[in-house]
Amino acid sequence: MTEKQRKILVVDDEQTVRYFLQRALTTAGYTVITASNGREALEKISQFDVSLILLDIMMPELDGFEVLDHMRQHEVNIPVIMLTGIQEIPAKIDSLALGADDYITKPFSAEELLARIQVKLKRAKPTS
Amino acid sequence: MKILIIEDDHKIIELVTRTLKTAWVETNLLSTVYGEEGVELVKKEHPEIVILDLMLDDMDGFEVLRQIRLFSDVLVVILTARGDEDNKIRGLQEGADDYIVKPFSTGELVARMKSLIRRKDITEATATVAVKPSTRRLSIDFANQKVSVGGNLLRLGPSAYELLYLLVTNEGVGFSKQALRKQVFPEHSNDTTIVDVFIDKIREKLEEDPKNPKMILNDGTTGYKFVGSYSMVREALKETEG
Repeated sequence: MTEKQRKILVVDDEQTVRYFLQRALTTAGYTVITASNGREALEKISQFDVSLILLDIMMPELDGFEVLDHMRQHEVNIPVIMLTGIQEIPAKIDSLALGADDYITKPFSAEELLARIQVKLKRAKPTS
Repeated sequence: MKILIIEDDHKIIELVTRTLKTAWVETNLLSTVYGEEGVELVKKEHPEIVILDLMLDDMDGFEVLRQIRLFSDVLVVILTARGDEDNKIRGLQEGADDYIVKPFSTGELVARMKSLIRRKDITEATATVAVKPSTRRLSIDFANQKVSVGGNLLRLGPSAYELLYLLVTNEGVGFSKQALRKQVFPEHSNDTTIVDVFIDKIREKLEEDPKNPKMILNDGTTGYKFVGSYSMVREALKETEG
């Protein structure tokens, strides 16, 4: 599978954010799946072979911390980039300690996001 | 843990050193204010992670990164006062694993470094598992639906046998959990948990270490596959049940 065919799961309760990310990622050649809350995210993770997850924190049903914690407890080791409006350092440190691979605060540029996604995908590839 | 700091500001070296010594009890910290010496230290000392400033006296940090990447896959975190978008993207595209802007939180620096190291460990562990097949011998008597490992007959129920049969006879082929559910548990709803439960049961009996399976592997996040070898047995297995 080439890098460009990889599937990215976008999890955010705001439709405008999902739409923006879907467009940016699709244009960059990725396949995109979306979820609007934490519970839906866990369902999608079990249904699809996802390469990377962009995860919001504040969401209904299950929040981003709970999704991340649930995944890592069950040894689902897909790279996760937290993408959130929360700028405070403790939220960053908590996310990374729970098993996130990166933490980006909104607003962010699509270009930086794409660069960070590439870095994470490269490091998650067993043959690299 | 061997860490190399390439940074022209002695105060930052001191701060980072103090921080990292608290975070990792056994830390071997190397530091230099020169880019050229930094590249040499990566070559000679093989640090696990490099913290790289962009503004050095003798060389530009990007050039240091470029030279390191010519021969090394070491984790590199850029730590710099240059916070603009263009430099961030350039750093990440040219091979840095992270890009942190000064002034920075020492807690965040440590959390980000730990995250990078954890990911590297996971990737390396996955790669190791993939090249080490199990040495246990699996025998299957298809006529009598009996399975044995190393001469010991396994007690498997009909569903577990069917699941194992499907995977073993399609050795190396990944099946999605949904496909396995449809095949083996057609009366069950869309919930694939039943498949996970039965795979766990089979691994418990089949694998030397069920927590590190070597015969029935996860196929991506959504499926399973059988790897390894098996032999077919025509006679019913008559050994005492193990």
